[in-house]
Amino acid sequence: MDKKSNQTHDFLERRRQLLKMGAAGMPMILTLKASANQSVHSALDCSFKITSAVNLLVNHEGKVWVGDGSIRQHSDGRLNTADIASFKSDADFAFPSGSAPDGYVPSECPDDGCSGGGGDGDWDDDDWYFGGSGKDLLEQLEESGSVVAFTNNKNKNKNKGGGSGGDDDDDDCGSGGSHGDDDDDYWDDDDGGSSSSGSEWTDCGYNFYQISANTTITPLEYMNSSGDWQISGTKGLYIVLGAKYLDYYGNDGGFPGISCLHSILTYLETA
Amino acid sequence: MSSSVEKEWLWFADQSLFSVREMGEVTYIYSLRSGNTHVFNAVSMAMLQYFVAAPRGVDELIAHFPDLMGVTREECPRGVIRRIFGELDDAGLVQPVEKRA
Repeated sequence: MDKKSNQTHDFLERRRQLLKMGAAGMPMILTLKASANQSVHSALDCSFKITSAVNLLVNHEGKVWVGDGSIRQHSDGRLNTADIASFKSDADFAFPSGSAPDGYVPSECPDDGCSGGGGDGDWDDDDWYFGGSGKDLLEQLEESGSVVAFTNNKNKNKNKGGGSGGDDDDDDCGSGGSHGDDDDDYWDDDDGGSSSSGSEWTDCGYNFYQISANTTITPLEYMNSSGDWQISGTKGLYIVLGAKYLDYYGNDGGFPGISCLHSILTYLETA
Repeated sequence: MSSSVEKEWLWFADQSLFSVREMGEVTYIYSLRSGNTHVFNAVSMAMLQYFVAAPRGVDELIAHFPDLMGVTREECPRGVIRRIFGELDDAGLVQPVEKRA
């Protein structure tokens, strides 16, 4: 009751503030003009800032955990298995299998080794997740081959060290490793194919991506002149997850940047 | 549009002419007629909904809007209401539908 009362009070205060701004001459309606001369609608121009660091953990099934926890990395790029487990349990958002495009998904650890990371069998029904499969953005990515292109690009980097893409057949333990913003690779150039069976470190089964605080994401940068999505890098993964969030949960303002993504996807649906 | 003309007409917001998407504290209204997207806050959205519910006059709006907002008339002066209504009109989201009897 108190919570409801507080909410009512907050809404009232917000309206008062808005009316004060209105009295001061601030427009209460902003108009985004459509223009036939623009190849891309102004609604696509929005960008958003990730104010605090966001980390994304992807497993071999394409499940994704999003949170602000950290995962320690060995000097060779391997991830700490205990930290992986903690990150998953403390994640702010969790997305089901198939949420991450193929290019972001690591190879599964072989049964006879590389079993670190604790697996992912802890997906419970009461976990907060978004069910079903993706559509629109992801479908478009698959059809356009953008994801495939990204996979190839990332494999060039991954083959340097501890990580690998899904089609790297001669990799001992599949992928694993951390990816900073865009092209900042954390792994070194030394051989990263070591097994991590029974170890507190793993170099397979998980990819870890990091977005630092105050990173600005402009979705338009991931769309070509034809209006097709071309997803790449850690920011691209974040955009894909935002689209997933919208598909299954709508815009509740809880996922940073969701309003910007919503305006874009809404525009694309109605255009 | 002058206030005398406004008073003679009832105004209506035909929601079949726009699509609505709520996004946190703002609401996006995409006008199917103009192709423009309008960003509404809680106050302007409440006013739009007032005219979606039924054709109404501006004088009714001025009388009822403070109560609708849950604030006093001092906090929601007539001039502010009229100006926000003007924004709705400029956006083409309300149309005069019939003269007051």
